[in-house]
Amino acid sequence: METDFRVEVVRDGIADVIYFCGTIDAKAEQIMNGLSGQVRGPDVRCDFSGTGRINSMGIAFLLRFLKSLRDRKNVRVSLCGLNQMNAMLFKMTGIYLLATPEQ
Amino acid sequence: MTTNPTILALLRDEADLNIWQNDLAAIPGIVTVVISDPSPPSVQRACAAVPMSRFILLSGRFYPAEAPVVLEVIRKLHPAAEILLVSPAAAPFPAVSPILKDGIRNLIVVPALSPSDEERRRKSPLSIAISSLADDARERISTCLRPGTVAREFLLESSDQKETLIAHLVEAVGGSTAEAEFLRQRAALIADEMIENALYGAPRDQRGSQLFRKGEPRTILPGERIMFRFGFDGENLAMELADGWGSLHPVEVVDHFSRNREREGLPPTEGGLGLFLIWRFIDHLHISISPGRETVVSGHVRLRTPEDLSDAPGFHITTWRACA
Repeated sequence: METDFRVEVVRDGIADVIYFCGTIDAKAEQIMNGLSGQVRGPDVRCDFSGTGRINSMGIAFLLRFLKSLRDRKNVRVSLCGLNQMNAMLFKMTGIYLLATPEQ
Repeated sequence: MTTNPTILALLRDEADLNIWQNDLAAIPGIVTVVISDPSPPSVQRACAAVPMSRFILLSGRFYPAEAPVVLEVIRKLHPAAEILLVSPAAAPFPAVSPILKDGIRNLIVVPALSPSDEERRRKSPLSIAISSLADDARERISTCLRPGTVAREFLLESSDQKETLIAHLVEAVGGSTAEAEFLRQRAALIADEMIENALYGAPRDQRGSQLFRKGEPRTILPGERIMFRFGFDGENLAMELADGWGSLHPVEVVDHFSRNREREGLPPTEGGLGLFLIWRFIDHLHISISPGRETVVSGHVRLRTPEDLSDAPGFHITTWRACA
């Protein structure tokens, strides 16, 4: 799996699908800070199937991003493609308080 | 030839004994005494059970009220003994400042053990903690590994080496099972956080402000030393990261664990969860602090499924000089 971080935002009907690829750590700051502006909603689907490691700084960036979406009205965020490790990490760190994992 | 036991465990009451008996049963030669009445004569009688103790496990239940009496007697009768304060992970963590002021250098918070779990009893966190103090400190990661397992060393020269080092670590863990993959994922995250803490969290100026910002590329300063070691024995991966700063404080560590395990809402979005994540994903965490000189963060991860990961993990903090 690639380690360099990148995101791709694809519009699908009324949803924005965001593909998170690579390692999410301190180096992801610039991309993560600009991500909120690329999202229109009302549905946002975050796909982590191409994501490798997410460290504590990556979690902090994701929390900031998801909080910024929560502050907009009528935006629904779902999460998919999580491996077991990242699913546990999201549960431990409160990400699931801001977005709903897809079954 | 018989060998005198050198470890004495002092517990507060029968309830305490129930908590600790499985852990203590895994330590050869240990003598356990319950001190129901912590008056000086009864503590003296308890201390006489092992005349030349090298280690004394003292229940956190003696804190804060009865600790002064108990410690005075222990120090009089066992001046050379290393006192290890033990507390169960399911309980609130002990207040660290009074322990440090009393000159206790080791705090061991122990996760609960299942009485039927033979494997975990064999390598119980309490016996690992004692072994890590009894063995040569340079070989502390071998405590968790099968004899003969070779440890590999990497001396970091710049932040650019983080990914290379993690790749070596992940490659060292063979196997295609779900447990092996979960171990590789945990190991990669733990190593990442250990290295980030050493590169960006540990270096501080005289006022305690961080010298470097996370994410900025940096090279190791002249005289600075960051050493990563690891070994894998087919079941356990042991890791150790030593920085040459010694800027972590035990009170800060325990507050960090306590705050984050009890949190119900969102954590801060500025980061700072690194040590908490290491603690939650590692199987036995040992933080050894020589203030102003060195911090060593070490531990091991064992092959297991995500469901087997403890919700109330333990930890061991050793402070080698006054930190009170």
